[in-house]
Amino acid sequence: MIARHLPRLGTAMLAGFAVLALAMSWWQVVLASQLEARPDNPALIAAHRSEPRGTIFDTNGTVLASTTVVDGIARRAYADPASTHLVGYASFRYGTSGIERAWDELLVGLRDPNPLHDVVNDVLQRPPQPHDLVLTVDARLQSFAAAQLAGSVGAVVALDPTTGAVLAMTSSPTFNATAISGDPLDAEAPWSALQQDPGAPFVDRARNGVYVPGSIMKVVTAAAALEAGAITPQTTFPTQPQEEVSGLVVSGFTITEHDLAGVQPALWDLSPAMQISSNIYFAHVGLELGQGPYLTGASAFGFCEDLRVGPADHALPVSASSVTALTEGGCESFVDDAELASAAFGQARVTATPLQMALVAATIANQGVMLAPFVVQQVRAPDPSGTPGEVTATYSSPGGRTVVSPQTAEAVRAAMVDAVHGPLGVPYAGAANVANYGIGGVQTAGKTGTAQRGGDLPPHSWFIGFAAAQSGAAPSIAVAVIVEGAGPGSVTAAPIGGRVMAEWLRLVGS
Amino acid sequence: MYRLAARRTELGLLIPVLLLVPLGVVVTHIAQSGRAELGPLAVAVVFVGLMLGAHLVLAWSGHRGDELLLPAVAAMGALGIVMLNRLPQDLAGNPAFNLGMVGTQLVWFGIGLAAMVVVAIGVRDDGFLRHYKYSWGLLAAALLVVTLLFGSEVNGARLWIVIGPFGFQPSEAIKVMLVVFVAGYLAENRAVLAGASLRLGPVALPPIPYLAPMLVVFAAVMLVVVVSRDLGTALLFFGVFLTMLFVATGRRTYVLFGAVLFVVGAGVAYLLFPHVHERIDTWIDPWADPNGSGYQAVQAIYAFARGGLLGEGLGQGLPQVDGRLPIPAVHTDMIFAAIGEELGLLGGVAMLGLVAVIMTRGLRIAVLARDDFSTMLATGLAAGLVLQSLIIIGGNLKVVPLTGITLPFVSYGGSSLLASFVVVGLLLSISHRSIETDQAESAESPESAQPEMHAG
Amino acid sequence: MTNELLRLLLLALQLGFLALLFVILYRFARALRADLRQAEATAAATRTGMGRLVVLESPGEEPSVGRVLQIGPITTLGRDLNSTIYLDDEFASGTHAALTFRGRAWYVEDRRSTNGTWVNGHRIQRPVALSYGDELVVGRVRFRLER
Repeated sequence: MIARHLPRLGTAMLAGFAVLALAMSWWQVVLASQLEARPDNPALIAAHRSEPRGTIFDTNGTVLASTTVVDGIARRAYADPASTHLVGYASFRYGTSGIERAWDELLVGLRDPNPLHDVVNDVLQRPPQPHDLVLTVDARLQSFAAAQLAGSVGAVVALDPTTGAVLAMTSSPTFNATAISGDPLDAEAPWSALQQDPGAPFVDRARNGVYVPGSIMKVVTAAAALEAGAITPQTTFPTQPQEEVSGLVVSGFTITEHDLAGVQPALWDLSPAMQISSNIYFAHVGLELGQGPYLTGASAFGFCEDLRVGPADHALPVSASSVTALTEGGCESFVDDAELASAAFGQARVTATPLQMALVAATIANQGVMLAPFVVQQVRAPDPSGTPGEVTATYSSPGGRTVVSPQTAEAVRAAMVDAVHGPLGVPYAGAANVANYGIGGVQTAGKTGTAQRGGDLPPHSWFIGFAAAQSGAAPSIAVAVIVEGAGPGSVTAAPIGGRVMAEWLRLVGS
Repeated sequence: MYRLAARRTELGLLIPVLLLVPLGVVVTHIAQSGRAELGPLAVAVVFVGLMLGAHLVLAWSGHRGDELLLPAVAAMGALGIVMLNRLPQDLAGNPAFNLGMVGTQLVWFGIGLAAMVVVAIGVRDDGFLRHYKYSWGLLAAALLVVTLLFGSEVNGARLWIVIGPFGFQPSEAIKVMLVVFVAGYLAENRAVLAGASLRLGPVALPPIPYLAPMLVVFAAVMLVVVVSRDLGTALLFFGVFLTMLFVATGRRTYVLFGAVLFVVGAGVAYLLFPHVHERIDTWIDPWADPNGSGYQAVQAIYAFARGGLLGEGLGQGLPQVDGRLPIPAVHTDMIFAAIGEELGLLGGVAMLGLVAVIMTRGLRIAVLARDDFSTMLATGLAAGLVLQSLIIIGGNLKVVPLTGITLPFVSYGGSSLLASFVVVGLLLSISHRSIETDQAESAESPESAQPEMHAG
Repeated sequence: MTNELLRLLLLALQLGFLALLFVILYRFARALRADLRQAEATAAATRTGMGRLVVLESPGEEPSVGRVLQIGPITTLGRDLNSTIYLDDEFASGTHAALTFRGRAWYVEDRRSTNGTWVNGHRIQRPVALSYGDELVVGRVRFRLER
């Protein structure tokens, strides 16, 4: 009988209905908030265009980004190109970047920091209330750092080691983000000019520049080896003085020393080795530590994984730094001991972002505790007077972890102070001493790096350090500086690091 | 009067349904004007009048057909009218009427309802369908060929035949004719196979009577895909055909075979024809080109996301950027996305519920039909409405590739409305005939129940 | 403030609209259930058999046009008074044709009648399976087989 099959047909069709209902729930409930936050959602675009966008202030209330509505089109203006990569841009035509992207829903007002308000606003269909943001950065330090990089290619990252707050983060070359915000039609020409610029001004080198670190990696090597008990600050390697001249043969590969510039090889322990930046010594340290423990130690500092600035739901993504090659679960194993020995002084396949290296300095400064960085400290209700309004949410470091023990951090700190102040170190990192820039009574810790890139390419100039660094002092700033292709770290990066730290101590002191 | 008392169930269901349109029109006016006032109600009055009119004519004529079908269709139509009334009126509309989009749609509702009533009351004998099944099949094929040769392209699919100010989509009529042909063919040949299966001995049973038309329909469907670029209609035709085949034979293997055939055919089309390729790629990852080929799909998903559980509210969704609606085909193919946005998950589920009611009634009419042809016809017609709804809703929801077919009774479009109402008219007429003969039998049962008496 | 009130009003109306939609669905569900019960009752009353013959054309008095004849698994038709269905038609033979229900379908066979038995306009030569809706002519009497 035909009629027999009809109920089966009905059941089959009901399955179709169920699938559609599930799909609808999937989009409308499960994925809804995620989809609503996507920058190309017309609800966001429409809100962007007609509604004023929240103002972004620096830590002192200086305006970094603000919006005025002219003829129904909101125009975004940015105060200082020094902050372009950090603050980002909000273009109707080209989307958003930086903080403008990570905090978009709050700036536009589609979301409230308080989830309960969100529900009420949603139910009542209230128009978006834009929120203002207060950053941790100081616009003065930001401009100062950018001025140091002017004309060169590189980045400066400055962190408060005791809080994880970003004090300054700037990348060069930069550009004026105001030109590509505002009226979509006016934005086209400057946008395409920037896109064709061979200097790649869109790249935030502080977060996404991945460089060979060179000798600044020795700080990581020393800390990891001390922490694992592989060495003490007094450990020496009897064959080292001879190898300074003849080279160290590891797995059939000869490791040579850099130009010691007249310094006679001797039996060095940690402090002089750090001062002179001995590749042979740190190759030994790395071999002493071993392949697996080296990776573990570097990973504790944040290598081998993606990092971020700020809380997970408003994160500025930071490219992963690596010791070998990145795989799904972290860094793959070393090929052999020769690679380990080279990695121990920051060559081979080691790469790092300036932010990662600033975190290394900050961790040593903060007695071995690494505080995850953050850059937005407050969300505030908009205030018509143009000053920051009522605080609706505050943020601090999204988390801290002990990377090395206070004893290890203390030993590395002492070696880094010697690298700036010690008799052997002065020719290398001495230029970073804040005393050179008018700050007295304070010691500086630091380490330079001259990252070889192979071939005839000039090396990258690196510096990491912190101040005040004398025993018992509370360090208020940790920095990482890179200048691409600018030669030895001692010549270019170290003076910039010193000036930035000195400027901060002057600003804090006043 | 007896006849005024008739169709009470229908009236009882119709009354709350008819409240939807005035309420929806008022909410839209308040949301769009920002003033707490009623606003113009002409659209609501005309819609309510048309539906009540159709009901009264059926009641007065003593029609005994299904009483749930019209209210279910009216509820879908009501949601459609509310949405079309909410959209900018210059999106569509026939210049011959000069009534704007919703006005034009109401004219088509009037024409469609009239056609439905005429078919429901007028078709007392289905001989003209049953006996001329091959003619209907040939007519469908001819119309298909004419469309492929002379149709004009809209949105990359060749679907329209334009005569003067009026354009119509022959695929809507072809769908109905195809169902008539297949119903006639299967009803006639079903018994042949049933007889063959009774024969004893090792008799091979090549189901040629099924296989042959299946391949013919399959070829026609593939032709549609390739030439007219109309994936949705092709899927619908084939789906309806397989549904009818299943009901006629009860063999899932045939359906499976047909489905495999379709998938293989679609796979070949995917490899050979760039437009099919693009459709499928867009379906798999619309975000690969969110401003180009994936635009509609991405925007539909955003619309659903904005809607959430309760919806943005009538007249309060669909944010415009530079004066453009986020979804271009929001009044036709993508109207379900707009419903999802403004009425939320609840509104969308209610819409699915209404389609389910139509399905239930269609199958019920098929079960109660007195002969095989009527059963097959009712099955095919109902499956056509339901599958069409499922395919386009699924397309909006990215469950199946997005295709250019309408949501029956909801989307803007005269051909679709007229064809869908004719389908409802046919279902009502089948239902009426089966119930009428029931009644005739009950009246005579003392005699006819025992024919042996006369033999003695 | 008025804006806030307007928003509240719109929210209330929106909820009202959705509520109305579900009231409608509920009423459909109730109507479906009621109809199902009634249909079962009707089916129990009128559809006990495996099929029936509707008389479409009949020149004689018996059977009369419009009659609906319930048929059993073995039904004979003819002018013989002992036939299950008696035909008052001189063009019909004594025992003209027999309808049998075998498992899944109805079959009709001609009992060597003078004028033959016709299905859908074709004279049958051997037992033929019938579909519901097929037309059967015995003598000058025309039937339709229905469920």
